[in-house]
Amino acid sequence: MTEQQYPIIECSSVTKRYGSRTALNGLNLTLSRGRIVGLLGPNGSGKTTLIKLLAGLLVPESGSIRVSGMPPSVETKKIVSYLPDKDYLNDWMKVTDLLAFFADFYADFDRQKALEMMQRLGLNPKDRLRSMSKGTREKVQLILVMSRNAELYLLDEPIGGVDPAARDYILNTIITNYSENAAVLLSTHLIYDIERVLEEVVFISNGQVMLQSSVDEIREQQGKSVDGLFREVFRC
Amino acid sequence: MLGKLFKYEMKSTARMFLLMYAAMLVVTLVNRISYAFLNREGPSNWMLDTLVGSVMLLYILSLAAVGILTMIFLVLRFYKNLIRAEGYLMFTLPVTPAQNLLSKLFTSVIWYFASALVMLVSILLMFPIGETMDFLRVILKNWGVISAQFQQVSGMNIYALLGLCLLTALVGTVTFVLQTYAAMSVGSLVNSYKLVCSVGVYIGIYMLQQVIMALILVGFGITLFETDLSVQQGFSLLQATLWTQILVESVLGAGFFLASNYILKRKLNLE
Repeated sequence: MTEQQYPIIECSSVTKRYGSRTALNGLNLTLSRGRIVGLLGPNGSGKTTLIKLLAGLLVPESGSIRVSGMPPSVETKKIVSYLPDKDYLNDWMKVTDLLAFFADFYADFDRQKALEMMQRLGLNPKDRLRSMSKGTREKVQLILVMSRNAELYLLDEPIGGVDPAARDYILNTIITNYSENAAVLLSTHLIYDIERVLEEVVFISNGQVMLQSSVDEIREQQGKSVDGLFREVFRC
Repeated sequence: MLGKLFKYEMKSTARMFLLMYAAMLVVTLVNRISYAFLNREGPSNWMLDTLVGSVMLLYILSLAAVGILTMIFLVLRFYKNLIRAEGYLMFTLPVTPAQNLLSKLFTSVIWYFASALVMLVSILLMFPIGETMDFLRVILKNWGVISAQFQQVSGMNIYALLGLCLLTALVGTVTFVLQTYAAMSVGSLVNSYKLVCSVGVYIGIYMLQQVIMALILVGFGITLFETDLSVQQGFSLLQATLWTQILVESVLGAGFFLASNYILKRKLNLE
């Protein structure tokens, strides 16, 4: 098989504990390329843990993880574009410094694309991150991450802090920016806002996959929106 | 990739250090000018003398501050860039944790030596520059005689001794830096008060290290209380002590590196 024939994500029996707390409990998940997948679940269900494992920031206690057929490593980091739900960039840097940084380390970074998106959202590349508002910094982070021609985009709460107008632009950016060879896995609890871009959803609860389904299936067979189904499944 | 990491590491730290060195230079020059008033002719003036004394005190404090701030900057750089939020960026770059560690190690060692050099130059600037130059000129002119004499008295080649001292300083610095990294890596394993725990771990390792070093030196029969030594015996004792120290610190340094690398690779848990 060539690399592109492997599923983009394969997790089997993945368990991750933090001390005595189990975050992922024998999780199994396979995702194929060419889709935008929503990773949905209540707080503390293991969404961020799963994304961090796929990004190579955590190592599981047991089970196996493959990204495009490879265990998380330098090789997978070359093809994975990850957006954490944190302010994680050096704040003394100017946006232009960050563009240079990304271009230097990621062979798949498209600086032109990043500049276009920044212009569109009214960001000045000469500004320092420190002088920006929280929402603006989030936009910069998302633009940097989406300007890579990666095979897997891992977006942890990508639109939490940005205004609704920018939210639409960002969602469109996500839809239009990935190729059919790539996949997007994004976690959110703002399901209603993001539902229209999702093609597949994975519900996760107590560290296990509860449901994996295409969005069309949910709409046609169950006659519900993803948001509606989520509220039903995770009713408190 | 190591080269790129190193480049960014130097770039990110350079601003702080160059600013600090520039400030040190200014304080040095101010002190140099103010010091000249002490040797002036005429009646004593307590106000002027107090001022000169204060400037001198400020100078000495600044000199100490360069050393302390160098350490604080470099420790915080590692902590902020790898253990805190920026770790999300650094550990998802297509590089290994070892490359991250090495780029920071090289950068830190360079700054420690640069700070030592700045302090040395600053102290040299305190003496009249003409006299310092004359002194150096005399030494260089008579270098052949001096090194031959040294060889005769100590039984040791002067270059070998200087080289050994430099190697001891280099290995000592590398191990010290790696020890701070190991302490912060271990400290990162706890959920809260990471920095406080790191300091605790550092002190623990330090005490353990002192005990080990003392035991080894005693084991080799090297003690500080040997008094009836000839000059030549003294120098060979010095040599043996330095080599032992280099050996022990190399082993410890390797241990610190492996421990930090293991933790950052397998046990990292960014907040």
